[in-house]
Amino acid sequence: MEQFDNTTANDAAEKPGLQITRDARSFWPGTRGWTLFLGIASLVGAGFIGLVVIMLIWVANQQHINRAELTMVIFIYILAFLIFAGFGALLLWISSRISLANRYVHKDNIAQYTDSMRLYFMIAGIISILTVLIQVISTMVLVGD
Amino acid sequence: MLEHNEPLDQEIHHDQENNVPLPVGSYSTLAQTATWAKILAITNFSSAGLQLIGMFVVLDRVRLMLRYLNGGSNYILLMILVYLILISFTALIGWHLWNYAGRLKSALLYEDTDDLDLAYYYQFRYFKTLGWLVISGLILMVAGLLLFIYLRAMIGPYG
Repeated sequence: MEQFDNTTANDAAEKPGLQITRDARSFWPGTRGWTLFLGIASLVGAGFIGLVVIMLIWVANQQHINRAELTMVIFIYILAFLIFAGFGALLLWISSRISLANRYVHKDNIAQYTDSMRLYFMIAGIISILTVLIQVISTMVLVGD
Repeated sequence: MLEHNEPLDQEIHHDQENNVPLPVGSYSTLAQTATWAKILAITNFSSAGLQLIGMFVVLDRVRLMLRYLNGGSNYILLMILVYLILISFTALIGWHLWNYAGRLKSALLYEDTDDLDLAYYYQFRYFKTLGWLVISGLILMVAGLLLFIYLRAMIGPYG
């Protein structure tokens, strides 16, 4: 029993904790590239949605359209624009953090990379919960029709 | 100025040669990331299931609409293909997220560096699949637009 306790104590003392290895770092350039691509794609998408909003407002001013309905549509488009633009900016930020961590392998940079990923998954998680709820309602309406 | 930089460069070089210990503060951050990644995985699986239900409902409506059109079954097959591509991508993204969260939790629980390596691998696969989903979506959008123009030319604007 005594020997067992000593072994456990020695193991605990020698344990180096979690380490970022060369293997783990080998995936970072790929992740950086894809986050950069997704960030740019998201910003381009936000640009297109922004153009649609401008067009809708222009159409509303030109013709006599039900204001309440159009305001609702414009509100949804502005929400989509904010989501796309926010995700685009966040992904570009993540990409820059990975780039920094990969170039100067330092614990502060790794901590920033980790933190940016946490923020991304948190926001993506919240939005995906809302999206699934909307999807459930629309599927119920579709099936019920 | 150069004297100040030298030790820093050496330190970076030293870090790049060897394994870098994970900062202590990152443990809780990674735990939160794993939780959110798991939630995201579950919502992706749910979304894939809902898309599958939606596919059957929409296809039934389209089948009724295309009853009087020659070659209508081709369009239904095309729609099934598009739906299946989207459902597969959504499920695959969910699968990568599930693995990512699992490996991350395991790495933190058992302090296993190999699991952390795998977590970074699945994180890369997740973003890669998401990127290909975006590329596929763009291709499908262009293809859909071309099909719409073709159908409009065939049937006419009031057809």
